[in-house]
Amino acid sequence: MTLLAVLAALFIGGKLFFPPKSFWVYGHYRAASVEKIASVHPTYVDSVSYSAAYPKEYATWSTGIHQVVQCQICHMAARQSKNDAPLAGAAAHPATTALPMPGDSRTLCVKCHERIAGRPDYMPQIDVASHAHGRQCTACHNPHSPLFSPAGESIALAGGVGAGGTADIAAGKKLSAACAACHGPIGVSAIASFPNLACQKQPYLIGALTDYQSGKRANPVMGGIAKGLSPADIRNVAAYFAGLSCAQRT
Amino acid sequence: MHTFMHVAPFIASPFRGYVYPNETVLPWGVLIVVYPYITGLVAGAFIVSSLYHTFRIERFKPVARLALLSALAFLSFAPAALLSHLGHPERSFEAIWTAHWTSAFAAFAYVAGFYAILLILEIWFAFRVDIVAMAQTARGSMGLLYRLMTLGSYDVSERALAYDRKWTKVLAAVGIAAAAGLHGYVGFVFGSLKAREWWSSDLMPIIFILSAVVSGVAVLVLIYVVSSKVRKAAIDESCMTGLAQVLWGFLIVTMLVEALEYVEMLYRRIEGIGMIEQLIAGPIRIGLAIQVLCSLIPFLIVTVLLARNVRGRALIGWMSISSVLLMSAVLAMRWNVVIGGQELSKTAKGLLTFTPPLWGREGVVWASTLLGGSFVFLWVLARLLPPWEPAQMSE
Amino acid sequence: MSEDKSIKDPLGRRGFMSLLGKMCATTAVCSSVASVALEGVAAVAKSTPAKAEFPPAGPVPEYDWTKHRWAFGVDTTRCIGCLRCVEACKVENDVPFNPHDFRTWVERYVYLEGEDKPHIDSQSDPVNIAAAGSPHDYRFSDRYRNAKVTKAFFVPKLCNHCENPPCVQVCPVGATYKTPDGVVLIDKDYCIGCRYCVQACPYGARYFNEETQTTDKCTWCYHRITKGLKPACVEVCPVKARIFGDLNDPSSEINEFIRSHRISVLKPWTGNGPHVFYNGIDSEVT
Repeated sequence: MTLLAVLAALFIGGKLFFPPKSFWVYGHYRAASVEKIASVHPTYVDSVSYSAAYPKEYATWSTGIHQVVQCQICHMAARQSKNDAPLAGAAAHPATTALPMPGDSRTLCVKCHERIAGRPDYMPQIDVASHAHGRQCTACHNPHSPLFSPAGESIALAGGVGAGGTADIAAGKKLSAACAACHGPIGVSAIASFPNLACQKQPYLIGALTDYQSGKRANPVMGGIAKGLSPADIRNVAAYFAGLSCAQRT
Repeated sequence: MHTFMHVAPFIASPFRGYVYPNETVLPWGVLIVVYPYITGLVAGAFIVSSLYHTFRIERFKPVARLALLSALAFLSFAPAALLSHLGHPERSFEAIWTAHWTSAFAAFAYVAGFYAILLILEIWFAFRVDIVAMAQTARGSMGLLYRLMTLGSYDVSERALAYDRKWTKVLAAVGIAAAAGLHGYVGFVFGSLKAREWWSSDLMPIIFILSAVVSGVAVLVLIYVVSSKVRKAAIDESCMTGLAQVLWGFLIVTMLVEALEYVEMLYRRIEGIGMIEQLIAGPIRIGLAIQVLCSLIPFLIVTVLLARNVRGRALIGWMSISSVLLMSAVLAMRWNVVIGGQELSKTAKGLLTFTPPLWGREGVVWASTLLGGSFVFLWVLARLLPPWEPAQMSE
Repeated sequence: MSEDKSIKDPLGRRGFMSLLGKMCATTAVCSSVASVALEGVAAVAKSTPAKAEFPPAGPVPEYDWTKHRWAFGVDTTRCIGCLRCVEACKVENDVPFNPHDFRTWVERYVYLEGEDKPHIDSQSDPVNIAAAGSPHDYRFSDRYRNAKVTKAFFVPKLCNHCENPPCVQVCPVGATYKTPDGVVLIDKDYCIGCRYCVQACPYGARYFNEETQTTDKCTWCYHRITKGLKPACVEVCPVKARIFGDLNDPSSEINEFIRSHRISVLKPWTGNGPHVFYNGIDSEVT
């Protein structure tokens, strides 16, 4: 009996002494743990943080289509992990640390842009094997604004750099007369099943017309129309509609 | 030490179909197969001992105290299996100070602790007369040990002995419930998890308790036979027949309940049944074959032994063979549940194949060492507190 | 050794029952006394000076956890399977760079012509690991280029931070818990590494970190969201397939997402109440 009493006393004593002080404050856990977890310094920083260190690149990036791709997606990919290769000072002042340069763009860019099963159609994708004869992506695309070449020329999806340069809006307007019948005189369609074209994005229109042309997008009317257009025509008419006002809707 | 702690666990299991990326390293390995196995041996041996100490079934008297020592030996090594598995065994006492009562694991520390105290107390009462005798005759450090173990109680009068027996009886009775709890909670750990279809079942605690008793009785038979052979003592045939009866009873219920679980699962055919069928025909087919055959064959053997009232060397020989087969069957059952359950992916669309590592703390060698160690410890205990009744002393 | 053969058992059945009754009564009395004592102990523990450091608004300085109810959204119609989120999470949270430990991952479902069951793979599939070239790198291979694909999509996965987390339920020591602002966290200094929670999670969201010898899982980047930032995976996703926000704020992105889409959750029959809401998954998504 005394033995049991001794054991009980030891047990109660242990219960008083051993549990951590911050246990049971909010629930069945240590409150101190929440504080510790929340106090960890973030690694990824807002891309704005790099605008001072890299003003030119930041200006290009923040106005281009790649503004949704944070700096550290491509530049951090050059590093493996905080565990493997800690960058000196990265935790304290990431914005003043040099962003590592990605090496092989052909293995980096294709992670998003390779055409594979499952990738939705809205995403620009290429067949890696047959695209640009194995050149580095950065040969033709400015990585901070890839719709433009590193020299600043616009790249049309159907044509590529050097296939004609900038679009001819006037020529596009002339071609658009044929579209008015279904899509409306100012690119605003009155018929429910025919979409508006006004202020639609140029790359999208180029892609759509190209797909109609190849049959990837099946439509008897548009297929016939698109087959009559050259790559330059497609680029021009797309640029024209893209330039129309978004304000008019009816 | 570092190698022991870290080698082998990075083995990612191959799989077919689709499994979640985090599933390719199985969290629970052979140590968690061995742990319920060892606690099962505890429960089974203890039940036999209680058949004598509580229910006064005389035929089990020759093995009653041996069973108590076996239970203690196995119980001492069960936590070792768990502690070897933990990432931070030095923090394991947190389960006592801040036990999270919604978790079945938290019950372990308390139930096992309670049961250990109960077992030690019962052993003390059952062996007290012998301890007193040895305290008075032994010399040197052994003598000191025995004197300590008497806890100051030297009274061997009739009244004191009756008091001992009363306590033993009550402790053995409460111990049955505690043993059921000890092993039932292990079944609950598996059966209560909705995440794993192979485990999630109301019948799991019952299956675990029943198969535990089967394995415990089987190991007791083997220990009895081997120890008698070593000591050149006679084996009490009525005791052996009694053990055969207990074994038969628990075995048939175990087989029925296990079969019931499979039948229900295969009958209901809920989503994921295709993968379950592939699991049965695939990664655990050998384990299941062992479980089924090594249960059926001993069942038939024991049926014949009992029906024909077999005696003598034939009885002992066939019971020994049956016990070895049954111990294999129950070990296979633990493997099929623990490892098989993890080989069936939570996606219900994939299967992994687990090959246990040989070395390292999750390795086969260490698990076997723990299992073997418990038998060695039993030998030590039997030397310290000989459980043999006077009728069993060798000539 | 005089033994019991010569002593008749003085107890008998009635005596035995009465003794058992007395034992039960004693146990009952003792355990009630003990539990009252323990309650007292717990009360003392709760009223220790520690309470002063931990106000009701939460233990994180300058962050009131009673004001937020976080939730996550996944738009599988937008996910392109680029796996930037997987890498970002590993960098942000010190997750080991191997193919079997993930706080978040992406699955791909591909239906081929003539089949009604999808082929499913993740970045941990051996074919994809081979295509990536190194265990530090993650990508989906182009394995279906010559097949007729009728439908295919990506499904990012992560911890669902359930309302009734089974992982919290089974932790024996209280090392994992749900905060009032809806995030399920792991206390790495308290976890004993038993991996029961890894078994209990129906979504496979948890893993055992061999280096820290504790379990780990997505925390919705608690160290970021308590500072007004977004989780790293949400931050880096280039196509807005991941949405994060405060359910208490009617104008938050997550509320907008829930209002404008038909939302579903994973494994609703488990009763966990997951707080990651999916748009665009079909019935084959596990």
